[in-house]
Amino acid sequence: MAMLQKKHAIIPYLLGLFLLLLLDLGFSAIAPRLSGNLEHISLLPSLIKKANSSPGPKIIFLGNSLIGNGVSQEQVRKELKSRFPQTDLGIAKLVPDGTGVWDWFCVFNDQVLPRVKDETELVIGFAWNQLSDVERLSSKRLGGHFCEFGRLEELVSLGLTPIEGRIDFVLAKFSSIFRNQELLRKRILDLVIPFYRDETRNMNSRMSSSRLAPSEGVASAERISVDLSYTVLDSILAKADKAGVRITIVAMPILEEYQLDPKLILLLESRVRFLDFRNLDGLEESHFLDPIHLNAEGAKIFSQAISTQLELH
Amino acid sequence: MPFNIYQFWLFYLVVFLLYFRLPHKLQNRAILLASYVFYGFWDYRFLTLIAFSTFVDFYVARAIDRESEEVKRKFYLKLSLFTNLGLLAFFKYFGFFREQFEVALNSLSIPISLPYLEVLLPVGISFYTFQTLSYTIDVYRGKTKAVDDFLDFALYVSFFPQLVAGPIERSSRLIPQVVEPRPKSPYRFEEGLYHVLTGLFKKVVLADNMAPIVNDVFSRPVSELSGFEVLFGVWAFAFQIYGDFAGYSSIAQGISKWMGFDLMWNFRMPYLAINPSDFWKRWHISLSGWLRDYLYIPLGGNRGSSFFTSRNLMLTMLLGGLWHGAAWTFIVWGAVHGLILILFRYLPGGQKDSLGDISAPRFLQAFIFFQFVSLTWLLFRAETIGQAWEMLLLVFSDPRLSDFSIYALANILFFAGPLMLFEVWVEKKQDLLAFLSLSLWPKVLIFLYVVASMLVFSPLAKQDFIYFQF
Repeated sequence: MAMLQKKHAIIPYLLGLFLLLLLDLGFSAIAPRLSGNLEHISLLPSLIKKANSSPGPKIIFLGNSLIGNGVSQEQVRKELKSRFPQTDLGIAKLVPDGTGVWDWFCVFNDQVLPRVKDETELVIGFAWNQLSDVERLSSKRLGGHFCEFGRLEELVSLGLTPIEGRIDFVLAKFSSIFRNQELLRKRILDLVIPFYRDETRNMNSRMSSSRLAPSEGVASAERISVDLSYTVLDSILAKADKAGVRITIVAMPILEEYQLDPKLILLLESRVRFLDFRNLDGLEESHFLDPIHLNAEGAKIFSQAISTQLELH
Repeated sequence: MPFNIYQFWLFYLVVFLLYFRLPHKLQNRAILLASYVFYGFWDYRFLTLIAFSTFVDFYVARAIDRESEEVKRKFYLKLSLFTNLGLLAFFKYFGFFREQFEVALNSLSIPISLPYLEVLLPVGISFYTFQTLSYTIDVYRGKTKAVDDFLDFALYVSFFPQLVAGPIERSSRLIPQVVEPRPKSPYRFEEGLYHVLTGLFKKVVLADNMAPIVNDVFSRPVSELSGFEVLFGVWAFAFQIYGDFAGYSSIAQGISKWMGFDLMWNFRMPYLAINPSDFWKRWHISLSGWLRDYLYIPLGGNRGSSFFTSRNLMLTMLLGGLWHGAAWTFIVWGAVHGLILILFRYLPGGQKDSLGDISAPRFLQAFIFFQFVSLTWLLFRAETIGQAWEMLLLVFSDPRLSDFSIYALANILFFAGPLMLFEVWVEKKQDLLAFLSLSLWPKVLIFLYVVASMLVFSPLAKQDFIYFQF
């Protein structure tokens, strides 16, 4: 009898887990429709494939919304066509929001490299310390969106925290709710909490300004004056070199001036083509959508500038 | 090693799997080893402290038990009190009293600069010191027999589920569970799971989502706040500290239950209390019970005149406040609670027990008393008494509803509302484990709500448990 009760005791919880699994499966089916960014992430392979279908050279722009807003594919195509009339160019923009070097590492290794063909130029756009190992590392995002399962060991060797990072990575791989937690949380709270976005933003900015109070007004790279490392970037560069992918790295323009780590500049100048567009001629305040993103007019200027610097294979 | 990180659960899994393969005595040894690993996770140097305290109390208690001469028994008791309270005083209060002493001398125009010592506060020292003290006192009082096996006693002192944040278990409850083989019960899994899930929910969904609001309100200059922002900020803190601490106690209860240990309930729906004595029967029950049995009653309790009873209440609450931390805010917090306890003694029905009363006016009374409790939390959370006072004045002088206050209130209702409704239901059922008797579908749906909430609403950055600092 006691044994029977013991077995029955577990049934509600197993049933609950089963329902949770169904919810998770249902959510994974609709997730790409819930946000433009998730839709973009789900389209990454097809964007690369489309660019690859062109018989000519390929240019892949990799980064986040900075380069996403900054590059006009049409403008780049037009400019390059005028410089290289015989080429049939394939262009892809892989620019998921809020990403940094760790995400780009996975996109490059697991999305770009397996599909890479000859004559590929990879253009990575960044600002602040987005190329350093300490920036924007989210194992949940890596596991959930950008990395193949087998990439985990390499990530750990590069600095992903051994236990917490591994478990988040694995959970995100298998659970759609877990990997999209941030989006789900925001959507639900936005529905039920009045002034959610504005007040959360205000609260975050108050908290970060009080944390950074002693060095107010100092550019972000100077605020993080710790000794930054670039192991992940280094690994991308080494693999690109091996695969014959040419890399251009662009420091993106934003309204507020920012400093770059001299160590990074040295690394970039010795290994890749480095374009420092932090103070791009012709860009004014009116060319920005907000303090960090270019508008269509700004994108036109930026795209023209970058196109003149690109050398096709 | 806090309960809200994966490492803890991996650690627990290893302990749990090993535990059930061992006979009783080896189980105890395995948990003792695990407890030292668990505590050493914070700082291995603190292990010497807990080992020293264990060593002293084990031999002192045996000496008390063996000795028939009262003078010698008293001497051994004093030795234990001196050692334990001395360690606590040094590690927790040295800096504070040094500073106060210096200020006092300087104000008397005696310029002096006392030596400054950088002393790290060992995690959970207040909890295990009180637990081991209760053992020695109980042996002295003849309520408990001294333990024969040193390692069994060491397990009583360092039992990892409740080592760093309680509940502060009494020797009469926990030691028999250590010494005797623990019974296996078919209900243990479900009851343990209930405690663990409610505990994680309280910590991860409730406390951690209140934390950003609380941090924001208490870090802004008071001149930038409105009365409702302070009020809802302090409500948020009331739920943060409840979720955090009751959550920890509940997880401790659950993981102990799975190993066959039965820990005490440390919280019983405290925000449904209707008066201060009711509140202290529901909030941090193990500490209030300790203070009652080892301080309030020995001081005379309520056996003397009203004046003496009030004095005893005040002294007990002052020391209760000081137990929480070496700061004037905690001392004044204790004094205010002492004052409220004394005042309610003279109010008609001011000491009424609310257990069993499930009428609507009783819940209205609880809501009103919640305001008292919340406002005292101002002292607990504020950096200084001045800040707490300014915030308190603002609550009454500037009742303005801002966007932020509506946002804060909505967060409280969204995260704490369902839990409070559940607690009202449990209160009405008068059965703390009423959930376990639910039929299939309500149980499934509540379980689904709890797990899904933890998945979706857990904080994007992990927050520490507040009570570790005590």
